[in-house]
Amino acid sequence: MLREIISLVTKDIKGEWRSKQSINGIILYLFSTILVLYYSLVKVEKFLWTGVFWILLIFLSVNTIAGSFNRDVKTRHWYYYTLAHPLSVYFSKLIFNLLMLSIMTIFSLILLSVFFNTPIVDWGLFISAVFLSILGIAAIFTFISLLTTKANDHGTMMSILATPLIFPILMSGSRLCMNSIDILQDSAFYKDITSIFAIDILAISLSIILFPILWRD
Amino acid sequence: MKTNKNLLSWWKWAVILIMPYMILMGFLVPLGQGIISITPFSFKAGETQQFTIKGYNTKFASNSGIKAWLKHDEWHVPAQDVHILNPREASLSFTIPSFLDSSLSNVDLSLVMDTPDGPIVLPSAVNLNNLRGIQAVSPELAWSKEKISAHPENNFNYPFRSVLGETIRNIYFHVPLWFAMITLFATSVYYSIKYIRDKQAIYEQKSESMVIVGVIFGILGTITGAIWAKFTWGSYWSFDVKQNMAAISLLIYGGYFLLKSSITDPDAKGRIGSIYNIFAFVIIIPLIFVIPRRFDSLHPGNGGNPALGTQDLDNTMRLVFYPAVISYIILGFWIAQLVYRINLINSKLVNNN
Repeated sequence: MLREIISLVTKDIKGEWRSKQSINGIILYLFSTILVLYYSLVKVEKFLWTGVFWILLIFLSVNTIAGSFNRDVKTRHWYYYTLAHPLSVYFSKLIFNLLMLSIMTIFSLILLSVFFNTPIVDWGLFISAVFLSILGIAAIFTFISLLTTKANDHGTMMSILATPLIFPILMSGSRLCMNSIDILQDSAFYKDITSIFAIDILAISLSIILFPILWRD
Repeated sequence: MKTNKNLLSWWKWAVILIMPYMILMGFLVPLGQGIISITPFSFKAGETQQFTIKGYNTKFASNSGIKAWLKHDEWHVPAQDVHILNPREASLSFTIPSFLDSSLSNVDLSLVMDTPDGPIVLPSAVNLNNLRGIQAVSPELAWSKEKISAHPENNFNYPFRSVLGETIRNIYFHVPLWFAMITLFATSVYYSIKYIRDKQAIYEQKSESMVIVGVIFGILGTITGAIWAKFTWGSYWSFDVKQNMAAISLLIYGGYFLLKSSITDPDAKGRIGSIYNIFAFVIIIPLIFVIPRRFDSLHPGNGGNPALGTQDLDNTMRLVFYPAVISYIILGFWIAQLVYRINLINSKLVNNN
């Protein structure tokens, strides 16, 4: 199963590397958004920075993950079904999406720090909060992405369904982010970390149960 | 199977009996005695101060042995004089020595009154400027730790809470709706799981009708909550964390209907809808039960105290509240059953034509 996952992930990475379709699209999106922000806000205060960062992150993840099952023609899903265990398909997609999302987040952080100054004080807290949030977002979005693909919908449905679902992660995540910028002094921040972690575990284990049922079709 | 078509099943009779009971009790049982206002708010230790209090539903009368105390933790000082102005107003005079713990410069004191109908408590009524070293005028007016002997509360009424006032009755029309909503959603998840296992269309239809009724209950709960919030917190929507979470969970279930309406194939519709239903319910659990604990909220039940502890419900309210919760849950299932049957008849009509 591990070998299956590795080969599926490398297949996705190779496909992405050849076409560079989604990477280029997202980079274009990031550049234009940050330029618009730069010309409209000029200077981003501490309070605004968290908001800007999380809004960027939401749309980034929608754009990155929305079409993750549309990349192949639908008939090829049956081919994969005969080749690999459903769970290895799920984990390969999850890992690939997490990888893409991490790269894009790092890229957006670099861009943000080029245009605006970065107010982060506690980098360890910030990175762990963002990573745990990305993990949860990737898990929920990957599942909803398959769901909307199976419902023969392309794109729009995904953002409508998935954005309210990631709300608990966003709330805890932005709180932790505010903590790491020193806007908010909360000594009990570990509770937020555990709650995001619990939601991640919940989302991944739910997907493990439900993904094979959905994939079988 | 033989069914009796003339009689409703017993659980429907339970709703028919409990609902009027709840509405009658909810509107007719009077509120207990309370104190609306006390002036002035603060005073200095050692001075004799007259306080005028305004009561709510009180029956103050001279010669009825009304007593008053100012209390801090377990320490209290009695009033020098209680003068009754009219059944709703009284004037109390206190001469308070400085509080024993001289490190406190200001002490919040609660007012406790004893009337023939039972005790009245106003928490954090006045603020004592704790000047140091002032002794009591007489030993009777010193701080003491003795237990206050009050008349027992023997009336059948709801407790008076300063902010809530008469709106405390809304608890029967707001809180049970959420209990019913969660129960309906949980049962719909049960039927969704059954559908995925057995592929019987009836399970899917049952599950959908329960989600419909659950969402309607959620909307009603939001509306009753908003009206309550207008009278207690000052605006219909206070961006309280529980209000926001409720709105988001309704959005998530809005997605359920959207998703189902976008699929045409009935088999795929059932399967994808059921899977989304399970996923959504599990994600909603942290939204409703975990996240609100991490934020400051205006709702009771946040910041440590239990939501339905002894602080919020007294025995009279329990007599109505618990049957109300049960009857709302049953009512939810009853309406869901009707929705399910209507959908069934509609689908049969479509098939026949």
